[in-house]
Amino acid sequence: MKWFYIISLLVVTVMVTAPLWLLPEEARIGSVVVGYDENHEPIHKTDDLMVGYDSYSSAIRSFDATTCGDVASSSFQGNIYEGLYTYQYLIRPPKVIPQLATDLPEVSEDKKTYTIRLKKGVKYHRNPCFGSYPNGTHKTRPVRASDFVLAFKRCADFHNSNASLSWPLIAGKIVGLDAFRKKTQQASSGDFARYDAPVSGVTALDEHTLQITLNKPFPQIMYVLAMHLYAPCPAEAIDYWLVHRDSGEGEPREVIAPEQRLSEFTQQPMVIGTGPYVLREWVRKRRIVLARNPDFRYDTYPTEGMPDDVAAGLLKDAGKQVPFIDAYQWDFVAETFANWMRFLSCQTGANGIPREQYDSVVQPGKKLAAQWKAKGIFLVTYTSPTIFQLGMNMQDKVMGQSKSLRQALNLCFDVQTRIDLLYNGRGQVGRNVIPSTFPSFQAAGPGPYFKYDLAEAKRLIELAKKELGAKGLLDAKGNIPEITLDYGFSGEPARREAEYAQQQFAKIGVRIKPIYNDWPTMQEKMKNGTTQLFSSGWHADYMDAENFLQLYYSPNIASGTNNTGYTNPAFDTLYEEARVMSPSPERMKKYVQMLDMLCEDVPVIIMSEPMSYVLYAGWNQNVKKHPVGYGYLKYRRIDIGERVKRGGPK
Amino acid sequence: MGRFLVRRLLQSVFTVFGVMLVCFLLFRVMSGDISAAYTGQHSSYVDREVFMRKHKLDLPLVYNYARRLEVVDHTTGKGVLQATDASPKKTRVTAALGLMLQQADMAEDHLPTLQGRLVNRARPNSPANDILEGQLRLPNADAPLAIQITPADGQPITAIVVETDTCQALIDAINTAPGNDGRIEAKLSSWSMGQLCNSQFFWHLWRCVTFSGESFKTHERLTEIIAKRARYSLSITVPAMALGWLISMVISMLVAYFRGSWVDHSGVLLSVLGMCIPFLAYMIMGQWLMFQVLPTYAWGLGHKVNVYVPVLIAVIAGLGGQVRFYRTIFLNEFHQDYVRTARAKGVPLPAVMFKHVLKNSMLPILTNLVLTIPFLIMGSLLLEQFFGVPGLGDLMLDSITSRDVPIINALVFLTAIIYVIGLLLTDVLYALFDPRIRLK
Repeated sequence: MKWFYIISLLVVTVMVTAPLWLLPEEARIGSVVVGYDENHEPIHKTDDLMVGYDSYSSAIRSFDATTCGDVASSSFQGNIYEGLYTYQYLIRPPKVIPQLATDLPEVSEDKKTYTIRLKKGVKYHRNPCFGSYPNGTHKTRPVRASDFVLAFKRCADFHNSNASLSWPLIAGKIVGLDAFRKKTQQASSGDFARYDAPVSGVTALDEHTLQITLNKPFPQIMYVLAMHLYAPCPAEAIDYWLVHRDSGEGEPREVIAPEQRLSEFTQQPMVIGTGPYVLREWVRKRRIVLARNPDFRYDTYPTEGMPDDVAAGLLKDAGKQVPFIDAYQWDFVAETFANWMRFLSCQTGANGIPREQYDSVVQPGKKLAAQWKAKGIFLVTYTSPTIFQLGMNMQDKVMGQSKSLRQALNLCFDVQTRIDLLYNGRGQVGRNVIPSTFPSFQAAGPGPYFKYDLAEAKRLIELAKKELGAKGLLDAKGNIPEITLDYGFSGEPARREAEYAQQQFAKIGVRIKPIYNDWPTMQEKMKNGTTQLFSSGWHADYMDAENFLQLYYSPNIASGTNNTGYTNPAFDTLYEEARVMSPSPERMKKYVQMLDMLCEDVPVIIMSEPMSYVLYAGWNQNVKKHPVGYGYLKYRRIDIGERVKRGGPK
Repeated sequence: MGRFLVRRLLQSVFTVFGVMLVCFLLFRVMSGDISAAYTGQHSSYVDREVFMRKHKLDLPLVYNYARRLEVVDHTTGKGVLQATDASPKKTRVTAALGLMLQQADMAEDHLPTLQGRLVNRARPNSPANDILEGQLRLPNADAPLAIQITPADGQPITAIVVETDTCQALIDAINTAPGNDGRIEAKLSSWSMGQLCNSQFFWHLWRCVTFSGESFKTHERLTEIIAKRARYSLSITVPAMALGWLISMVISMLVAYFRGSWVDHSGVLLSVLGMCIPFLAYMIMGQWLMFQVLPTYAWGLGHKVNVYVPVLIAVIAGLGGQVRFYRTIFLNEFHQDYVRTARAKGVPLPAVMFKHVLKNSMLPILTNLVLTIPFLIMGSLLLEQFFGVPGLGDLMLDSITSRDVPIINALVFLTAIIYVIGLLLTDVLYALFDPRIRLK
C-alpha cells in the first residue's frame, strides 16, 4: 500500500509538470537579418531592434496574393506582396502611384493597350526555390515581366480563384484571359502545364516591359493594378513548392502525385513577395511575424501630404529610407477582454474599443477622454468606403411592385438612432448608394429618400397600399403582407438589428419577420431570389462609383453581384456607356444620372457608413489610415523608449 | 474476464456507430449549401460542383444505386469537350443535367467524358426529369430546349431535347442529333455491385475510422491538425486533473478527519461558496488579476509556465465540488464497521485512514476520475479561448461555426472512442480494486 501512495504521488508530479516537456518553446524575436556579406553569410542585427507587437482577432484565410479576398488577409499581405501600382500613403482622395512600375502606364489611342515598364533590380524575398549557396543562404532573383504574366494566369486559373477577389475584378476585361480560364477548367488542378498556354492580353514585351490589352476600355483598371493581388509570382515557386515536396533530411525533393497537388501557396515557406517585409512565421490562428526584408530596394517616405499632415507630424520622416520597423509580431487573441487588457498593460500598440468600454473612452464629440490622453494614447477614427444596407428583392412580387412602399420603408427608418443605440455612434448615416467620400457623391448629393421623414413615409405608405391593392397584393385585412427580413448572421447582434428594424417599420404599420440564417444559407437564398428584405453590405474595391453601380446592372444578376435583382434598361445603357469612359465631366454626368435613378427607385434601404475607432499607444508614429490601400507598415515607426517607459516590452 | 471484454468491445462498436450516424444525419439536416460557403460568393455552379466532387458530397447518401448521364468524345481532336446551352432563353439545361464538368480523374485509356449528376436508380426508361436538377422540366418547358456539345475536333453538335420524356429518349436525342454520326456518344454510366457502398455515409465512416479526411478550410490533414493541437489541450487538462485530484483528496481527508469541528464546518462552507461562483467568473477574475501583477504571463504561451494560470483556475474552480464529493465518500467509509473494529483494536487513526479508508474509497474516486478522461482530450474550451491556448476545444468551436465537417466528424469520433474506452477501463478497475466484483 505504501508503494501505491508513492507511485501515485510520482504520477501526479509527472502529470503536473507535463506542460514543461509537452509544450514547445516559443521563439522570441531576438534578431533580424539586415543584409548579407560577400560570403553570403547573413548579417544579423540584435541591438536596438524596433519590434512591434499587436493582436489580431479574425483568422487569416490566405497568404497567397492570388487567393486573397478579405480585409484581414490583405492587411498583412500588403506588406509582403507589391503590385505594379499602389496608393500614395498620405494624399486623399487616394492617388495611384507606381510601385513596381517605373511610371504610370502608356495608354494607347483606343484606350485598350497599357504598356507598363518595370523597375529594374527589384528582387524577390530569398527562398529555397531560387537555389541556395553552399552555406545554406537562399538565393533570390530579380523580378521579370513574365512573372506578372504568370500572376495574371494564376488569378484567372479556374482552380485558384474560388473565394478570391482577384478574378471577379478582371473577369471579362482582358483579351484572352477568359478563354484561358475556360481551358484551365478542363485541366486537372495538379497539372501546371496549363500555365504554359499564352494569353494574348497579358504579355511580356521584354524582361522589363509588360503589356496588357483590354477587350474594351476599362479606366478603373488602374485601381485594380494598385492592388497587391496581381503581385508577381516566380515560376520557380510553383515547381519547387507545389510540384515537389521535402522527403526528409538530406534526401532529394520528391514529386507530389498530381491529384494531391494544391494550386495555392498555403504555408509560410512558400510565401515569396518583393515587399519590405518577409513572412518570418505564420501559424494559423496563433501568430504572424513579419521581419524586415534585407534585399528590399531603396524606397523612401512620401514627401507630399495633406495640409493637416504636417501638424500631425506625418511628414517628419519625409524622404527617409523605409522601412523603419525591424519586425512585427501579431498574436491571435479571440477574446475582447484579453485584447483590451494586453493593450492597457502596454504589451500591444493598438486596439479597437470594446463596446462596454466605449463610453469611458470616447467622450461626446468623438474626443478621447482625458485619462486616456494622459496615458499617451491617441485615437484614430476613419470611415471605410463601405455601405451597409437592407437590400430589397426587386423580383419579389410585393417589394418589386411598389416604388412608394420602398420609398416609405427608407423614410421611416431612423438610421441615426440605430447607429447611436447599436453601435455607440460609430458610423454615419448613408445618404446615397455610394459612400460620402466618393467624388461622385459630391456631384450627385444625397438621395431624396435616404433620410428620416416619418410624415412623408406615412403618406407614401398609404399610396403603396393603393398600388398594391390594385394588384391584389394586400392581405385579407387590407394591410401590407408581412415582409421577411433575412440576416446572414445570427446571435445577439442580428437579434438587436432585427428588433430595431421591426420597431422602425412598425411606425408605418409594416410587419417584419426576421429570419436568421448562416452565411451559406443566406447566399443560397439570395441566389434563388427567395428573400424580400435582406441585410447586406458592400466594401469598395476602389474609390470609383462604378464599383457600386455594378451592383444594380441587370446582367450582373446572373453572376450574383446584383443581389437586389434591380433591372432598368435605361440604367443598363448608361452603365455600359459610362464604364468604358475615362474620368471626365461627361462620365460624372452619367454617374449622377444613374445615381438619380437609384435614388428614385430605391432598391435598397441605406443604413450607414461604418466608422472605425482605433486606439494607438503613444509610441506609434506615422499612423494614418488609408481607405482602400494596404501595405503601409513600412512607413510606421515605434518609439521604443516611450514604450519601455510606459511599461511595455523592450 | 475475456468474454466480458469481447462483449463490451462489441457493444462499444455499436455505440460509436450510433454516434457517427447521428453526426452524419445532423450535418445533412442543416440547410444551406456547404460548397457555397467554401467556394466563395462569386463562385459559379462549376466551382461548387468541383468542391462537392472533391469531397465526395455529390454521392448518394446511404447506398449507391446511382448512375449518371455521360457524353463520351470519340473524336480525337485537340480541343476540349464542352457542353453549352443552345436554347434561345439560356435555360441552363446543361447545368440542370450537370453536364458541365469533364471527368477530372481521367485514366489514360479513357476517352474525354462529360459527366452529369448522379441520380439514384436512373434507368433508360425512367423519366428524363429525374436526371435534371432545378426548375427545368422536360418536355413541358415553354421554350425549345437545346444543348450544344462541342467535341474536341471543334465541330459543334446541337441536340433538341424538348420532346424527350425518358432518359433513353434524351440519350437518343443526343446520339441521333444531326451531324453526330458517332462522334460523341451519350449513355448512362455503368453500375456494378462494388459501387453499392460508394456513398456519402460509407465514406463518412471510413474517413472517421482512418482519420483520413482533410479540412475543408485549410486542406490540412486531420491527423496533423489533431496531433499538433492535442498537446496544448493536454498541457492544461492533465496537470489540472492531477493537481485537482491531489489537493482535493488532501483537503477532504483533513476535513473528514476533523469531522464536526470548525475545520470541517469552514471547509464545507468554503466548498459550497466555491461551487456557487460560476466558472467564467474565476476565469475573468484570474486573468484580470494576472494582468495587474504579471501582464506578460496573463495571456498566451509566451512563457511555458503561463499555462499554469489556466491550470490553477481550473483546479480552484473544481475544488469545491470535489472536496464535498470526496468528503462524503470518506465519511461514508468512516461509519463502516471495519473502521470501528480497527480503532477498537488500537490501530492509530492515520493508519486506519491510509490503510483502510483510502483504499476502500478508491472505487468511487476512480470512477469519478476515469469519467473525466474524455474531457482531457477535448480540453476546456473556454479556458483555451480565454488564455490563447490553441487546443482541440478551440478547434472544435471553430469548426462548428465554419461547418468544417471533416474536423467535427473526426473530433466526435475521437471523443466517442475515448469515452467508450474510459468506461470500459472503469469496469476493469472496479474488478481490480474490489474483489467482490467479478466481470462476466
